[in-house]
Amino acid sequence: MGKKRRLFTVSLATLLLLTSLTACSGGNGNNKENEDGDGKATESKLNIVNGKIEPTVTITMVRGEDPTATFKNGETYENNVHTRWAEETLGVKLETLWSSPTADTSYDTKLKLMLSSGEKLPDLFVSTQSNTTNMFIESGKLLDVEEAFEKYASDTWKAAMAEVPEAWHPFIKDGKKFAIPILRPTMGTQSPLWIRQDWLDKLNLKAPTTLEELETVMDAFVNQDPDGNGKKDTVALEFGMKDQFIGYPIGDASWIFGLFGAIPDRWYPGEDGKLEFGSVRPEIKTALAKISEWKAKGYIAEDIALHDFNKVTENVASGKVGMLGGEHWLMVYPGSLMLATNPTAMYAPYPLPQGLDGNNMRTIATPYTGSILINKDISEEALQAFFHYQNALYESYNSEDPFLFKGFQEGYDYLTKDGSVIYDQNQIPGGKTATMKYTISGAQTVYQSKLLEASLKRAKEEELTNQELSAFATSGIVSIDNSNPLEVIGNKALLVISTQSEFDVPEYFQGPATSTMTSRNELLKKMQMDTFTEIIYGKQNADAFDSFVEKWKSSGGDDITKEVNEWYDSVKQ
Amino acid sequence: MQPIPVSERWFHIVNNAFMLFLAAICVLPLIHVVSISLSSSPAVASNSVTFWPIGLNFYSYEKALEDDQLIRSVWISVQRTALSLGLGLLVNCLAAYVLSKGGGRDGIAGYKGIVGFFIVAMLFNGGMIPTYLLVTKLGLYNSIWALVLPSVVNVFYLILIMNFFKALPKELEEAAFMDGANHWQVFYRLFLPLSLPVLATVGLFLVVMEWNEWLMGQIYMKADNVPLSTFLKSIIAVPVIDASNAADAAKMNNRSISSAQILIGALPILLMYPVLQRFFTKGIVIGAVKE
Amino acid sequence: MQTVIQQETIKKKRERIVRRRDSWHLYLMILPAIVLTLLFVYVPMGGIVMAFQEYKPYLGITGSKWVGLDQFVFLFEYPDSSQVIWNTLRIAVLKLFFGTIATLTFALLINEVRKKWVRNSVQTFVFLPHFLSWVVLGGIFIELLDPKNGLVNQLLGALGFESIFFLGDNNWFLVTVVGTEVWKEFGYGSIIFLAALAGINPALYEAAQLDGANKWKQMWHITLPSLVPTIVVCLTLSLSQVLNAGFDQIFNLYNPLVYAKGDIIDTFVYRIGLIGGNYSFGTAIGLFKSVVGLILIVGGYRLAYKVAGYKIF
Repeated sequence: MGKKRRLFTVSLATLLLLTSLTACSGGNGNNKENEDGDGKATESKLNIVNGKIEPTVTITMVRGEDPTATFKNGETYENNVHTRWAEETLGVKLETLWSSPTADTSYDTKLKLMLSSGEKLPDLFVSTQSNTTNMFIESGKLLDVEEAFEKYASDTWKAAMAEVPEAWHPFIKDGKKFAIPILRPTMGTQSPLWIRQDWLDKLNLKAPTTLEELETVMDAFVNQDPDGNGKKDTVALEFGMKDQFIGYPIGDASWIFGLFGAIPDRWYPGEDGKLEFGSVRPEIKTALAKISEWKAKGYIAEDIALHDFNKVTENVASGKVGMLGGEHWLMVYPGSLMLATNPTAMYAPYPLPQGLDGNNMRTIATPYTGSILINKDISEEALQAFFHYQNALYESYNSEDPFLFKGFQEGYDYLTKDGSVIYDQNQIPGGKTATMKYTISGAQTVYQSKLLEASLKRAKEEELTNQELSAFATSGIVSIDNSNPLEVIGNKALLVISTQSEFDVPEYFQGPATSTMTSRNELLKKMQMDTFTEIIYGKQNADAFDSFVEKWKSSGGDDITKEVNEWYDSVKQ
Repeated sequence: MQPIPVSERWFHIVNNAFMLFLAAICVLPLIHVVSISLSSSPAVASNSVTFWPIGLNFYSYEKALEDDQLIRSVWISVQRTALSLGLGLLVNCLAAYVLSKGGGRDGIAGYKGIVGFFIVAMLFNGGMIPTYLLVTKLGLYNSIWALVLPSVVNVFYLILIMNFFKALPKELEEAAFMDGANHWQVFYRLFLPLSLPVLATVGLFLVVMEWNEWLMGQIYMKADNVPLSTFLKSIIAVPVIDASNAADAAKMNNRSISSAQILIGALPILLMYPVLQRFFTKGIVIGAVKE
Repeated sequence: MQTVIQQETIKKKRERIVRRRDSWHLYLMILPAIVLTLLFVYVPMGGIVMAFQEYKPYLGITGSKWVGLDQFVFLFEYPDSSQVIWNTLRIAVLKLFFGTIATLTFALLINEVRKKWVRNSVQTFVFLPHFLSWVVLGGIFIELLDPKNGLVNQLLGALGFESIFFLGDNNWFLVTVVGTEVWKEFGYGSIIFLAALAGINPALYEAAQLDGANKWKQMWHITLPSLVPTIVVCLTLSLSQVLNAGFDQIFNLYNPLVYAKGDIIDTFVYRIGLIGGNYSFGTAIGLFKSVVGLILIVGGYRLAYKVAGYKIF
């Protein structure tokens, strides 16, 4: 009996300790909410002299560390050439409270813990994970940015955002905008058809323009020993499908399904303008039957079900892959790795061959990579200072001077010597470092149409005006540099891709997971992966697709479709 | 000496061969990993490295070693491992000693309750968020103790040690008590020396565990105070590759770096193992106290 | 005769007195473990209530909505849940069973090796795979087991067998998962048994040899019985892990072709979006595993007592 009582006392003590603990943690913010909500009526105007705020205003932030960012001269995120530039020329002091690596998700974990423990948020920070962003949006601790954006963003920035209104979609809650999207150029994220040019030449083949021709080339790529090693060890067509069919930047399969007129795993408008889920469209059945046939003929790797991004890049690097889809930088990575072991190998980008019944579709990335979240309690000065800073970076799209950001780029991104610009890693003291990774958004500022125009002109090797050249300024490019042949191929790919942009299908659904999605998505996804994989492997007849569709609809798919369209109607204006 | 029977001699030959075969299949993958860590990026990326480096270079090690953070992290890891080892062995052995007496006349009251208390603690945990809140409330955030204290008590090892203690001959203990020793003396002079093999085992397990654990470092420490495991994990993590970093990714040679990371991380333990090995040699301990 | 007995009882009495007098030392000795456990395990354990809530980080445990058993209802009503639970159990039990046998056999065999260099080097080498992570090993095994160009299948081909898609066939997948896990951990796991073997009194062997017992008899009658407590302790405690079938391993090796037998609770939770920050569901899964673990440990404890006559605690 005594033991039980003791155990009980222990648990009671525990419980008490616990309540005191949790009582301090969660509930913050709620009570403050009402006081602060509209309290920013104080219309203060910053004193700006020659583009510099006087006196300096501090913005506090936390930062994710980009694993590809490099530093030299003992610099850090806290203190580097860019932060000094911002302070000296703009009067904006960027103060990094802490930083943490993004690639191993520790930044994301720390953001969530920051929210859970009720710590004070910094003035602003970047989030790239949608579920983290949504958690902050739901928490009510973020500023509704619409008013500030309207008031303080420059016309150039506004124009850049106005081009892609859908970039706001994921950050809208109850009609309010709770984060500022960080834009990216989307042209180039679609697949052209990458073909081993050396194989084509060797076998005397032409790039396919139709489905039939595609099959001819595939057959030759596996049966005519294109790599000349006497072994039947090549694959004609490569793609990733281990845990998804779309979304691998190298090894994208969307264009293959697109040849038959649908794209799996993507929401896009059907004939009636309502969003439909591509995976259940009848065209997929034809596509799966064909892929299965190709697999049986040996055009596709036997262990294709295990291929993900890493496996695809490995296979490309080992020089065994004839054709695949991939973004415009395929020859930079993993192509350059392939070249090191197979110096004569080369991929060339070709337009997608015409699909069945003239069909063609492929995915294009969302126009944002993440967003900047602003604390509701940010001071008016810091808020204005942020816009002042960001506007300054957007100035490149207005400027005639590509050297606009010389102040933090010279000696880091490039070197000017005797009137010419040097980008060579070995000639820049301490090595070349990309300063755009030191900016708040950690990337170049993007005005899609202007950037595209300049990029295409560059790809066509036409003369660029200084104003066009300035579009590249935030990424540290100030002149035309064709010294890297692999990047030139990337530019060519961009050109090829841009000729078929009518095939591009973006993801139309950008909202948070709907309630049925939360409860049923995994089930539906697994069912789909199961069925698709088994059809491709010939373990099930293509007719299995029909029963999959029925089951998908009745197991929650229909409800999700309804919810997705409700969301779509709410953002579509 | 009796002559060894023929069947036994054959057994030894076959057994030795089999053991060496096992050693081979265990060491080959490691050689593969070493080779990868020393090979050039393209050779690794195209999967052409097997058991010998291709395009020998030390880039991965340089990359891992160039950062000043490495030295700081090694120091944190050494402190953490030493503290955890010392405290872990002490606290768990003491508790194991007590529990090995059982609940009867020799032991403590509430024995069963206390065992239950530990078993439940082994199975249930509150998860990351409450533990994080506790650690910060205790003021341990960014302190070495945040890495040590939460994992000092390890119920699995506690029970393991306790069972070894129980197996020790009762007569020795009784004789010691007869000579007027108290519990501390029996524990220190008798139990500890007698259980060196199990202490070495648990010590080794603790060191391996603490040296490799990375999550606590990630959650409880600031970026410049993380232990080696957390630091190495962050430098090998693969970024999402896109247009802006494709060129960097091609240089980064991730598989080589992660292989180097495994080796750097495992090295101290591999060095320690031969030292500990002598404790596993048959008979050494009991032999010593037999007289 | 009489006096000897008398002396014995006097001894025992005195000893009892001595012990009783300083038995408070025992409480002092166990105090640190209890305090640390209370503080770092039991205090945060309150977080388990998340399993009965729809936890939102910004609301905290006190502010989040109570949903009762909804998380569990969701888990058990989920059409695939019984499949993944069975898969988990199957894989974990197979691993436990073959793992214990392999580890034990290895410990016994290495213990018989006389040549010191063989013994020491083998022990060091088999210890190594434990340090390789599944991310790295996953890549190696996918390569080795490739149905077309993999080393294993080339070997099988040379011996006249048909090639096997180890990671694409449900049954072979099980074999692969269990086999590679056993390979990875047997060396590390054998250390415990080696420590136990080191603790066996050599006098026992000497006596047996005098009685003319050969090696096998010695192993059967001395070595194995001496290991029983260690085996029982390890097996019983491992039961708590029976719903953890090894996420890192499965995650790096599985694919849609082997969902039927290879999909486990942890991979299922992963796909359902625990990484998406669904803390409540994650906590509920954890709680479910813990409860099952507790039941099995108690069961294992009773069974061990009945079968082996040994109480592990």
